[in-house]
Amino acid sequence: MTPGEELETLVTIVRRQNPFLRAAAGAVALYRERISPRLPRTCAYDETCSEYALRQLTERGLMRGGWAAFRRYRNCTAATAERLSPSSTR
Amino acid sequence: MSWLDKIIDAIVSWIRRCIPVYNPAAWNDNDGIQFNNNCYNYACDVQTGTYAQPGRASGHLRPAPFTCQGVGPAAQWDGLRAVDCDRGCGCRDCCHKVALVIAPGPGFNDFHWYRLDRSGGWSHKPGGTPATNLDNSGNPITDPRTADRGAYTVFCGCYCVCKGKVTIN
Repeated sequence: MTPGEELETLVTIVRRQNPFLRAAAGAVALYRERISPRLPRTCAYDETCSEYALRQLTERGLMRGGWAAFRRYRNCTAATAERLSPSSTR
Repeated sequence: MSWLDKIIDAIVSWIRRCIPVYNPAAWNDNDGIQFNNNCYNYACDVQTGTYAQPGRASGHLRPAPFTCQGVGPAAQWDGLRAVDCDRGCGCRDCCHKVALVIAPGPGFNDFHWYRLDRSGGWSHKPGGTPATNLDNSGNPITDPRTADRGAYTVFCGCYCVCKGKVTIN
């Protein structure tokens, strides 16, 4: 997700009136802005969990999007990283 | 520092707790710890004092000659997970990344491991010698794929070492 796309996503969410959705998107945006840059890459997926969460919240709303984001986080393990890796040799 | 900064620092520290700190003093005692723990111990951040070998703990020790196809799967039997070097080890698991390289010979055939430290740099411990964050040219290791690895010219790939899920000996 490019910075422009991310901003567009946030604007889309802010325009909606649901304060819980705005709070959830704000928390994800805060993570992406302030926490993620201070960490080495941890996500097993190409599209990171926070990118995915923002996209899902925008496209599917708080409940369904939030649930999808939670499931994605639950599945973001080393086993998933191995399954997605072309260098898995065993 | 605002309360928000403190919360953010706490979250960052909590997430980074899984990644080992580069602390060569814990390994370089010029005695038992240094001589009885090798690159595999150091990469996995476990001091067994047995000069650990990939696959030995799980009963899948591969004899020489050492190749990526032999050592890598042996390490996976110990619990390491093969990953793309440009990918993470998963947001949910408590893991750090290591890299396997091979000296293919002829003459010198061996394997070697590097690990990614909390600082974002890589470090290693060649056999019973001291742990260091420098490559063979004396430069800090920012990426083991491009570092001067000396005789270890074959880069096999990266693996994840997850706390509580890896057993070495």
